[in-house]
Amino acid sequence: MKIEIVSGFAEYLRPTTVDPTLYLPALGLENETTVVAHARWLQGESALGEHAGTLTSSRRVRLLVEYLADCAPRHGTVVLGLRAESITAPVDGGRAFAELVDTIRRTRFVAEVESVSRVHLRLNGNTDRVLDSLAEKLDMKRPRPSEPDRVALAGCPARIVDIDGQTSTEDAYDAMVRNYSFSVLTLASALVDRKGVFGSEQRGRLIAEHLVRSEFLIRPDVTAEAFEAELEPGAKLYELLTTPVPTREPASAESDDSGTSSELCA
Amino acid sequence: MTTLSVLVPHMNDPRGFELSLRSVEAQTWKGDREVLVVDDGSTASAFQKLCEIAEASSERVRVLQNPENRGRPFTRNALLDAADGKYSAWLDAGDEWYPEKLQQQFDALYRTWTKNTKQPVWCTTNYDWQWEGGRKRPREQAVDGNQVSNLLTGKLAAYLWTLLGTTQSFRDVGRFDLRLTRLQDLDFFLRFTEKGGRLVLPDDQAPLCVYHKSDIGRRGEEVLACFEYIYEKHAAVLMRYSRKFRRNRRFEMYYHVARFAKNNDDVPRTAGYLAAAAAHNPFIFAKRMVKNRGKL
Repeated sequence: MKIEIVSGFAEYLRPTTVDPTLYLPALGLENETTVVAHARWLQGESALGEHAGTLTSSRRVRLLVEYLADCAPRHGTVVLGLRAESITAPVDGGRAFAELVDTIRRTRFVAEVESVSRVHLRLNGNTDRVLDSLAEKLDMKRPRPSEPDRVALAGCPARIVDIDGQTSTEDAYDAMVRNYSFSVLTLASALVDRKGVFGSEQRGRLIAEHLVRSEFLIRPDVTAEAFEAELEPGAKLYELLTTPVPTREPASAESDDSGTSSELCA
Repeated sequence: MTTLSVLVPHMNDPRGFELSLRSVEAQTWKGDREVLVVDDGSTASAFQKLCEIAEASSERVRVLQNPENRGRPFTRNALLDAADGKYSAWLDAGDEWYPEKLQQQFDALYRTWTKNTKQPVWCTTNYDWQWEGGRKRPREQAVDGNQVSNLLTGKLAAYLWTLLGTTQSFRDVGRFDLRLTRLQDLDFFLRFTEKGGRLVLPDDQAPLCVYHKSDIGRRGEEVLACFEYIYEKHAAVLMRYSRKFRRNRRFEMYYHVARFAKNNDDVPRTAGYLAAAAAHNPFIFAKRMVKNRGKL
């Protein structure tokens, strides 16, 4: 059994709401024996992100690895999606991730571990920088490694996946545009204080969900500076949004991116 | 070792088996699994058809056969003996799972295990109940509170095909009682809970499987005899409850078997069972008759 750990999965790809058949091809994981382990039983807990929960004890890590082994198809791959900060957060994230990888290696079911260090969306240069800027401001990730081909995380070989409109299918691209905007809006909501445009992080998330559901997206020409400027109290974030979902840019324009017993059985 | 064995008893119902098998194929949980079928003495043509369906499926299907018809409890024991999976899930030929069933149940099991529980756990689900030709009606399982009591009152329905658990946890309960041609599920569930086992539900409260119900060919007197046997077998447990509780169980038993008799056009027995039900609790009997407008 092979386990693919995808960092940035939750932020960029939102696996809980988007069909895996859409985003797996974009990750280069298209295979009928690949499944995504949602691990919903650990949701809502924070240390390794919504897909790994507060794995503060080795028992929880062991449970997670057992779960991955149970989810794996015969001779197939199982994908575990983590938030970016699960791996790159200065202390807790890195330690928990190292523990996870170590446990995976000790488990006899696991033949190979491959870690994807970060899913780097290259949808649009400006919006990508917006996300980078916001994430850095939130101290959610470290700068990208200078030699991405030689990345190793907790002793695991890792690769950086660049996803753009060229490598993904049409549907996957649209889905990722939506997810991307959601990510930006959610990160933005985490930045503002209670007096900000969102009022609270939870409310910000609700607003982000509503905007995405209504097909409002971040305008492609919005710069990081413009976006951040709109995070102040009294901002007009809606001016940075567009609707409906924009069409894909041509390749050349890509910048960089009481019960009864009557039912007793018988 | 396979991760999951799907255990299917079968007799003379290849079309029902095909329906069930399609629902397994549609599961969103894609872990390593096999479908294990034990045929309980079907006719040669039905068995042939069963094998053809199994061979055409995208699932790994293993078909075993009783040398002759030995009944449901024997067949279930044979399934449990032959199960190779770390986990087992039951599915009767003719019933269906909805696509999220296994995924939701695995998540529920793991969620329970994160709580450091030492109890053996089975995951059941809410389900749809559908009479032949009728529409689906959702039924909820009551897992809160005293589960033995809930099983006896029917608030927690003892249906094996709703379950996912470790194969070892099923084996730990022991063998299916060969004397119970009906209701062996109820006996099995009671033994599990009496030994400290706990049933849990997935997060999603929506029905995750559907029971295609028919009473045809299920004789009321047979069901009654099985009820009587179970109450005798679990008398020590029943004695923990009040006289009123026990009397109401007798009422429900007669009311329940009256339905079987009625659906098999056995008018004298239907009347007899209803009279016995009324004798045990005339008030509830009258109330239910009014509520159901005389229907069972």
